Amino acid sequence: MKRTLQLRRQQKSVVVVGLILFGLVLFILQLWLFVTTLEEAIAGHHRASWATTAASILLVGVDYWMLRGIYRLDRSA
Amino acid sequence: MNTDPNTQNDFPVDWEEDHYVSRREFFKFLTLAGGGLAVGTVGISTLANRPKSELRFQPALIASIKDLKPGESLSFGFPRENDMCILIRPTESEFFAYKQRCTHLSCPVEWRPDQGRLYCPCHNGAFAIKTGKVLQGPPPRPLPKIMIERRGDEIWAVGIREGEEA
Repeated sequence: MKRTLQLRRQQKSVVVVGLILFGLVLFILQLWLFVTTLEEAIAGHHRASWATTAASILLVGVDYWMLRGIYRLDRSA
Repeated sequence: MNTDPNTQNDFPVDWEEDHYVSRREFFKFLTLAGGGLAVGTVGISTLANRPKSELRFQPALIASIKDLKPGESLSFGFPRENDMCILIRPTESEFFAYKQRCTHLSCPVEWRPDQGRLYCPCHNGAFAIKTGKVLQGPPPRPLPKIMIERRGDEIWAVGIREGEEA
């Protein structure tokens, strides 16, 4: 029983680390979207700006969803 | 860990523990930072998509129609003396005026009557005479247009309109 609990905890730990790494990738993507939007705006273009904004908001949504997932994992531990 | 028994009660929190950031806290920070970036992106997009502005200035006389023959151009300063602009008369009845600074690296553009366009000799940029839009080269956006009025035999500059997207 104790061994099973320990294994489950280890699995959860791996899931949390995976989520954090994925979150980092999403953050870098957001950073790139921000810089692209800024560059386009400075250059006087605005064709892609709403698409990059929508993508950035979507990524925050995914981030938030994962954060809630981490809290849920903590509660069930 | 503070192992000194004399100060252990006064400073019970371990220095390393005090600086420990849990994975949950780190992810929370990541989400907040991402939220900040998203808000910034929304702000920049809103600014980039705002309607192009028209700035009105004190009307200034540019030239008399007699001073400019069809196919010719002349430089003038508007709204200040040092803000170089160019007035072009491509045909008998048409007049166009633009800021003379290329939107790439601010080189002065020149009127090419044989090609019917404004040309930037620095990096081979070219702009349409009727709209100021970019025809070729590296300029990222059109030339700002000088709003002109014809008052009798005179051409007056009254304002500046930012160029639309290239």
